[in-house]
Amino acid sequence: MFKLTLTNIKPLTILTSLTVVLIITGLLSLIFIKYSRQPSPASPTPIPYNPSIPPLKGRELKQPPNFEKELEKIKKYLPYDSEGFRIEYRQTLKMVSVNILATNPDDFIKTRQKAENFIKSLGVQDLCTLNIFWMPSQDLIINKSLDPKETITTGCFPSVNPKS
Amino acid sequence: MAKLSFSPVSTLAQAGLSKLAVGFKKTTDSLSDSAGSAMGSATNSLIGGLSALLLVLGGISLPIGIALAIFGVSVGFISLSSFMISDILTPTIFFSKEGDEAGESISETKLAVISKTVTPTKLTNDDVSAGKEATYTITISTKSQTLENIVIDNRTTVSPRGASAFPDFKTDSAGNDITSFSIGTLNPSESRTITYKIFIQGDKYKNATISDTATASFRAADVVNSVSSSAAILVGEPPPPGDCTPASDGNPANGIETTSEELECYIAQVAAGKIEPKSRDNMANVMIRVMRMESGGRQCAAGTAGEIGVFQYIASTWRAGIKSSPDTDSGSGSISEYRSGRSTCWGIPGPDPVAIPPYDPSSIDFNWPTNCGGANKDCGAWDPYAQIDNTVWKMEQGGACIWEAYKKLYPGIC
Repeated sequence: MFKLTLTNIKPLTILTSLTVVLIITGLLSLIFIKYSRQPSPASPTPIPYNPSIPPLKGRELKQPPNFEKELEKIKKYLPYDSEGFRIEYRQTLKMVSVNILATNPDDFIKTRQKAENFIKSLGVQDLCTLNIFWMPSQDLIINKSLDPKETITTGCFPSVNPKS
Repeated sequence: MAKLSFSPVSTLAQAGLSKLAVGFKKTTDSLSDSAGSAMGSATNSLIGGLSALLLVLGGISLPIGIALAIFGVSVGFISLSSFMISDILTPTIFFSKEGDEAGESISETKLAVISKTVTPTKLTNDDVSAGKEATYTITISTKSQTLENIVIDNRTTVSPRGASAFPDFKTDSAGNDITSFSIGTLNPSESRTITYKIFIQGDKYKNATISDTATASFRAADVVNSVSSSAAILVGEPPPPGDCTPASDGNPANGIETTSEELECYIAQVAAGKIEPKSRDNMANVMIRVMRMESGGRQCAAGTAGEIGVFQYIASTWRAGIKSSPDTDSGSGSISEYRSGRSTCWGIPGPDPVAIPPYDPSSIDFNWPTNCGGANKDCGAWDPYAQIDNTVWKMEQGGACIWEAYKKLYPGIC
């Protein structure tokens, strides 16, 4: 016969207490999880993207003295296409540009020199005055293999300011 | 910048990948503070919760606390989804010649000379409404070698003001094909001339440049060569040489196309009147040269450190720019797509480039989502006009030395 003594009910008390504690723990855990997740900030709402292209007017670049004088010597031949290069004059920007098709830096330099010689053959005395923008092909840009200095006309400085 | 001690920047610079440093430290601090604040808040909540549990539960609270801590810390991590984007074709921008000399150009190689002329070189809009004939003449001459299998490929393109160019004129006035002419063989010092007429009529030709390019391919000493020449007719008031007309076709589904020419127009527009303070050179002159070396003016340009755009900004440096727009998904692209020739990224939402070794993909400096507010957010970096505006500002602040191309173009300044 089961006697209701302190010794006998001690395990039962412990078991009951433990069960109650576990239930409370579970409830508290659920409450804690629920409320601990709420304060996390909501994802930012993306700003609608409405891009626009600004009105393009262009503007003449500042060029070295005597630019027009030297330009006159080549202008009537432009655009000029040859093996590996194309020479253009962009009137809106007042800019001489040469696109070079080359797969490696050596090829670029040789073709640039060839184009320089052609421009000289048209009577240009000071190539630096034309402030030519040499444009490498995409491969050279992607590979970063071309030294930017090679995009400057031989013997010239990139600045339009002769005192630089 | 020289004062920065952040090693990846100098590593990138050595690799010729131009980067960026203005505001880097500030950006990093800002992001660290933000992250630290969030973490601190979460930690405080955890400590409070654990304290309460400990009071009630005694020893058994510890596993639960650990579990909760793991849970609490793990929230907030961002996952990047994989992506695939098909190539986008963009309209080609064709060259137009200027003034009265629009109708002629010559090209010369060591083997041949080709010239192309057109008469008239100018038409009014009324002319093309009523219909007008134009006469083209192509002449190819040999030099000292015999040229065999000469074939002239002929292409005509119309570039209206403010609209995309389109190919046109495959037949002459009589209906004969003018896209290809077979010449055969020419002996040394011989020449051959082709003349044909086209009839121009329609509103689509108003205020346009009609460009015509003949490319002669031939065999000389068993080597295949080619030479080409162009002629153009200006109708009404076409875009002036320099082509400051946007290349966009106006269809958002295609993204927003740009050309290096139009971007150079914008650079000249906003920077031709400024001086770059370090070199004392004209700022437009500096920017065009730097842009050509960094990206070639290609909006899809991406780099191994996750660089974006025509001036090749990394995420943290761009984020520090004055024009940055957080939470913006302005475009999408990757270095592999750029290498394969993709040309339109602006205006097509989606993922941004991820750094690849030797750059640390997890580094905050190269990570666009971390800097710009979440997956696919790029703070507007795909907008090439915003890149130009930011670059003007950075250069005005004396920040030009962050570009490796600048340092090499202007040695001794940085």
